Amino acid sequence: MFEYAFMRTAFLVGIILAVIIPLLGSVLVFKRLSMIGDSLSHTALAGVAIGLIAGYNPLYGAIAICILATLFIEVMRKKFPKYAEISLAIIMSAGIGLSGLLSSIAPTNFSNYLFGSIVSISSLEVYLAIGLFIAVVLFFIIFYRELMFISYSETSAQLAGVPVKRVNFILSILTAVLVALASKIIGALIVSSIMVIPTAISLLIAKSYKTTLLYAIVFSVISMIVGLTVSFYAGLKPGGTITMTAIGILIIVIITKEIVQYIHRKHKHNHIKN
Amino acid sequence: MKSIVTIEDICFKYDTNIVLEEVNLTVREGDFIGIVGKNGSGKTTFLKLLLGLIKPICGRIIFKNKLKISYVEQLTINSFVSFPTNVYETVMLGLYKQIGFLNFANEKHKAHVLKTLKLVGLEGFEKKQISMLSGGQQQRVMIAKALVSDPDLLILDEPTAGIDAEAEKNFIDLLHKLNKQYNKTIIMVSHDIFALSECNRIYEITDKTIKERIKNV
Repeated sequence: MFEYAFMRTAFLVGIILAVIIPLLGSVLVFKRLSMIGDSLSHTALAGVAIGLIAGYNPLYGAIAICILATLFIEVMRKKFPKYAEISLAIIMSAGIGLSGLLSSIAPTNFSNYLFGSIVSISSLEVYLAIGLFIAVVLFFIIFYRELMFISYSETSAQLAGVPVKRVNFILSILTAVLVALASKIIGALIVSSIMVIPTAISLLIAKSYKTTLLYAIVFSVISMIVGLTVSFYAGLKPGGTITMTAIGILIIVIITKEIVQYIHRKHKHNHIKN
Repeated sequence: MKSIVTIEDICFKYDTNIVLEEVNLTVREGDFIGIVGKNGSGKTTFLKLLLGLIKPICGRIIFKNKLKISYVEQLTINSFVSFPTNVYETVMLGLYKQIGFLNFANEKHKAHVLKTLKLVGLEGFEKKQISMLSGGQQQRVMIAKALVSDPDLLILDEPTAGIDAEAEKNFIDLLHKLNKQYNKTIIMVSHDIFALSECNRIYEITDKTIKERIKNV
């Protein structure tokens, strides 16, 4: 399959996204904002429609509206600190409503954005993905302890002198750009799953913050590689295949963990009996 | 004993709802102060004012120069459900200021974390995932995180909520030890009067102000 240039590009960009999506996704899961991917990706569709109607590259429209949406979520989160999910539900509803409304007047359909088009990535999208990869990795290296502190407790982080507002702002902008780009490449309906499922798998087996991040990246990259390969040979949609691979890994890990715990309990029980 | 915090006539309101008024309190070095009050009496607002998270609309709070304060937040059942840190990583967070921006923990920091874990009775727990610990042990981790930066004043919000009687007794003994042997000044908010048994002064937030309460009542 690597004799095709589009598959080489798909693997390059896919692996880049598979590394950075769970990095940001894990922090969002720890902050109990795991639905943010869903909310922003649906809002991205509205940006795509606006871009198409205005005659601009729809990716720019998606990025702009995702940035606005994520800033709105931050403001709402401050106003209703105990109900962070309300802001996500409002943004998601607004995104779905607006994209539904605009889809009827957009000059073309935007189904590419619903399920992604990882096999038809433009050079602009490749450059954006590489730029974003560098930005997210640098952000994590520089603000590793700050992100961990904020994930634990924003109040404690603020009292310890962590620049909470600044870090949250950068996190929001990077998330917005990533979701907009990933919506175009792997699909608006799928981006959220790659944001959350690898972290969910990782939470089942990791024993520290550091290993949770590392395992999430590993599971995400495996899902991407297996999903792309299977989709190529079986002629399936890449986005759905990647998601179902991740779900498959989650089920395997849950079952394996249950078996290991059962054996451990039985061993312990026999030990006490003897 | 020298005073380290002086609260002078502070008041606070949310919109038009006055929560606290004419609150006066002096905290002296080595004090172990308990704060009680009914739900909605203004305990949390008082703590937020003391921590500088909100500003009083009148009055002032004077802190001793270079006073180091550590805060132990109230734990909830869900505090660590989706936060997969181990004990070592969590306590290391307490050294955030000392390590500084763009720096990494050195051997001295690591040794200090281990020493603090020993002090709170959690030696050998470094690699344990915090969500797998009991409520009492989690609370000790939080104390270690607060103590590791060597604060002068320790502020605790409902630290015994949700832990069993034995763990509560052990925890109160630990606070007593920190206060008497390590000279840590402590302010503890609790709805549980038993948890305040080791305090040398107890105050009650009632009728929008703070009043000293006779200890054995």
